[in-house]
Amino acid sequence: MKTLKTLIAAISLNLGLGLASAKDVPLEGLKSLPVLEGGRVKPLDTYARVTLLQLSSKSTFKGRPAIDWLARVMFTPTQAVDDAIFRINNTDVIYALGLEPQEGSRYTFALLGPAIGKLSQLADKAMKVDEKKRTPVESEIIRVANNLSLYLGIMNSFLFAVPHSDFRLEDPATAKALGLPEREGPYSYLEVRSRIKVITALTSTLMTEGGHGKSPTAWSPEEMGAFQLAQRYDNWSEHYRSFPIHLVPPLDKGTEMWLSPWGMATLANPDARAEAALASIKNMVDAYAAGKSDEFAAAVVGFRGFVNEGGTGVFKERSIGMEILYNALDPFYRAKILYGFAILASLLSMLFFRKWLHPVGMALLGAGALLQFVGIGLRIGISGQAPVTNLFETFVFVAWTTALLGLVLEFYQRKGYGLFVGAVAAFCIMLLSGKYDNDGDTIGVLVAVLNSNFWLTTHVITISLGYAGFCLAGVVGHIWLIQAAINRHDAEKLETLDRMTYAVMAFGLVFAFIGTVLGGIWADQSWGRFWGWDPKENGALMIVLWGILIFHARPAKLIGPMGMAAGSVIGIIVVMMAWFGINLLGVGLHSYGFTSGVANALASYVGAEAVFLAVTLFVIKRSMWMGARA
Amino acid sequence: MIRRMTASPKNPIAVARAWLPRLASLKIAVICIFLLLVLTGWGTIYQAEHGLYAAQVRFFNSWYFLVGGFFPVPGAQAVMWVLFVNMVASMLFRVKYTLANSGNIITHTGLLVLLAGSFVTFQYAQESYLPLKEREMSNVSLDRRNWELAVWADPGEGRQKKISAFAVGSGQAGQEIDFSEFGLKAVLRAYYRNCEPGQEAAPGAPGHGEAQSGGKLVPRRPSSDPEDNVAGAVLNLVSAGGVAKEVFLFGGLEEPASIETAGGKVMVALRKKRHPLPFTLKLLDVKKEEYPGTGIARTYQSDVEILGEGMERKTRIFMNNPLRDKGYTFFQSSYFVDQRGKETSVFAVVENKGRLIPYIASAMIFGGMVIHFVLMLFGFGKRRGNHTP
Repeated sequence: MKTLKTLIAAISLNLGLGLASAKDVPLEGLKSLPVLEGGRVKPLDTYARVTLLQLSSKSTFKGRPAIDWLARVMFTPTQAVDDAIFRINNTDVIYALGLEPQEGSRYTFALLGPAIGKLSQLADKAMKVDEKKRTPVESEIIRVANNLSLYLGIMNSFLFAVPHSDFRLEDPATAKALGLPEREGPYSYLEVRSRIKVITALTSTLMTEGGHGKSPTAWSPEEMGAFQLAQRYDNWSEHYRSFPIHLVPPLDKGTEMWLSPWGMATLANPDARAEAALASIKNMVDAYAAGKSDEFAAAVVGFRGFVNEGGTGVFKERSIGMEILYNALDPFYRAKILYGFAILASLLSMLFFRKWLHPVGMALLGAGALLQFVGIGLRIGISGQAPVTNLFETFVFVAWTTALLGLVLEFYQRKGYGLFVGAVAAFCIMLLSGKYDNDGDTIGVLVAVLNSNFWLTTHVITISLGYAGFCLAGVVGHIWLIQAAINRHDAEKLETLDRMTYAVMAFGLVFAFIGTVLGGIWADQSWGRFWGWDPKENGALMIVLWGILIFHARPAKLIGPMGMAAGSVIGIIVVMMAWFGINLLGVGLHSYGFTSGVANALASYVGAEAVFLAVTLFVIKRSMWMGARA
Repeated sequence: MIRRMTASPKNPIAVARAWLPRLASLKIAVICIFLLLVLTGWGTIYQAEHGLYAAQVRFFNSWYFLVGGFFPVPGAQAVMWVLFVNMVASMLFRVKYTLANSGNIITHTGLLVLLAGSFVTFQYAQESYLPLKEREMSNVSLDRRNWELAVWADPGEGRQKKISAFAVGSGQAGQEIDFSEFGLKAVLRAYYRNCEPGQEAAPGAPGHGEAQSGGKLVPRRPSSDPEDNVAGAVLNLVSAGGVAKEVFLFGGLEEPASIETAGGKVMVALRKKRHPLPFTLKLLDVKKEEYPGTGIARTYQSDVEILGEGMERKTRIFMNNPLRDKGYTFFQSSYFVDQRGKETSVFAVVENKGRLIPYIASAMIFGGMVIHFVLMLFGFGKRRGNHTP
């Protein structure tokens, strides 16, 4: 993070802007401009969504797509100062910055601007505290400071194209001498850049090494004006050279790093192509600011042509297109909705009008699974990697598996249970996934140790199948317990449910075991040991052991169907612990920061299940006791 | 049903016949599995606070450990042994050898092999590491936790040196160490499992670096992971000619201390224990590639050369792609660059004759499971009769 101190300057610089308001300019071409961010090439559409999500916890603003907002900030930043997009979660932070609480906890740039000094100060202090020991206030301050820093970068990313008060000349005659357009208002960085040779020629005689120049009092107005321009120009070049957004593929094939617009504007030796690219960038900014749709579209096309030319072999056109489609489709969110309705349909069909609601429920569940399949497929095409590489993707994959398993169970059994448990499990897991996509871009790059598509595919997918099996078995277990509590003599229903639990848990156990073994083999190939009692390894082992425990306790007559049902419910908890509870260990025991949200949710869930088990087991046992007495 | 022995209670075979089948009880297996579960969870939580090594020592590698200082709890090693015996006994006395059971039997045999293999690894595997700067080579690897005293006669600039290594032993003060082949008598005045250079030789100050010959050593509390400890030793050296010298050896420094003897200069150093390698490994070049615009590592790779006994070949070691040769395996473990821009590649070195056992075991277990489910699919399994809860 750049210290905000250096960026405070940027705030004052922005006060010099004055632009016409942009009308509704269509942004189709802009959306699909490729940008290098987070180590991978993605469409600007994704960049806009992820950035807006990071700043305001929503990926739309006032009902408009994120790219709308991004274009406004990039090309006409003064129009965006009153957009309430900075979300601040902690009221203490709000007061510390001298702000008044706003509706929705979202603040505008206009409000935050004056607080930058204080924010910067507090953030510097908070950064010095060890991460594990930070209070929620300190963590939030750092988060807001980082967000503001990011925003400042974006809002200034095209600053070179617009006139700025820094580049002003007192004397119109100087303008003529330097070849700059003669007018009242200030010049843009680009305009100064176009005359920089003349300016440098003039100023080079003024201050040479050893002080052999003219003394400043003897400078002519032209020389004075030129000198000021040159100084400001150098300052700007130095300061803005490394600003985002990396829209330009590398100009020479020796490097992988893309250039930002500022990177282009501050190139040491730009060739004709680079100049043409800069010109089309300027056209984009001007056209957008003036609200001229056709000119804007043309400028974007021009710039895109430059990008495509330089980008051969660097990015895939098709992947960009896929990602735009994926963003528009939002398959996982939609699948989640479909699963929710499938639950409803299934419940209603079991309780009331069975006949026609059942196929409706199946169709909904199937549609959700299909959507997820498309989503996962698109992600493979976009990233070129195995489909499950981070925590978010595990949720998506496991949810999808439970939906599929539910469909299979229903086809096999046709009693309505399969549909219900599949939909419930898939819906709940997709709900959980929502907690893990706020980190921003969920399509990431692979760190070195994970960089193996083979192991990612085999080990991670088998473990995910194991998780799915145990989760689904646990849902069936819930139904068994509820059914037994209601009427423990309904042998047919209970036997069906018991067999379901058994079969699904067996599925889960087999895959959890295979997955754990594959993990051991991968560890042997990567680190030199099959097993190391690492937390993640231990988590997987505990799931396997739990399953084995149940499957051995049953033939040992230590438990019966009731024990199995209860065991399957506990199995869900064991899976949750291994899945993401482990990740909390490094944080949870020492810090009570923002991430404790997950820890709290997990604790509440365990508590709820404990109550559920206590109640149902009590009711069943009491019924048994009363029945035995009769 | 165990019948009371009416004849001779001390008849060993009769006693065995009565008790051995009990060892095969499924209930023992259930208890063991449950204990293993508890230990795994407990040990994982313990690890968050105390580190992996301490958790391994206390929970996983131990026979037992004490809670609250007095209450004994079985450690994972004990539990796994009981489980092993229980499974063997089951195979001998309880299990029915039928076709329907064949899958199960194969699976459990595989499990036995897995447990046996883990024991072999635990006892006999040797793990060490090898840091190499670019263009550096070595025929020894370093122990992660243990230290040794290295002594050698200074052969002069650029000549090969023959190093003798001595175990530190108990580390007791007053211990005599036999350096007679160098014409020296050595008495250990003090040994610290963890220490740092003392005030007199602060880092950066002119006296620093001479901790080996003049500065003091300040003992520190040993870390819960011995890997983090830096040992120190204070030796009284007396040469044959009667020259006495007290040297402070700090494990964190590469520079050895020296003492003049009749036969020339003798160097002494305290360093991580060396393990001989079957060949010499030379690092030609190491590369770290990052994703552009991020600090995230895409890959680490080391180009190395294997030298020894007339054989020379080049190969590349990178993540998920180790070098396996002569029973040793070299993994790309880590990488760093020092202030001068010199790159170092660190390899994890493993020698484990039982390496393939888990693979065999896993294949058996998986095969057994497949057979079991296939047989069940074709109606060979018995349906579990369900009674009311």
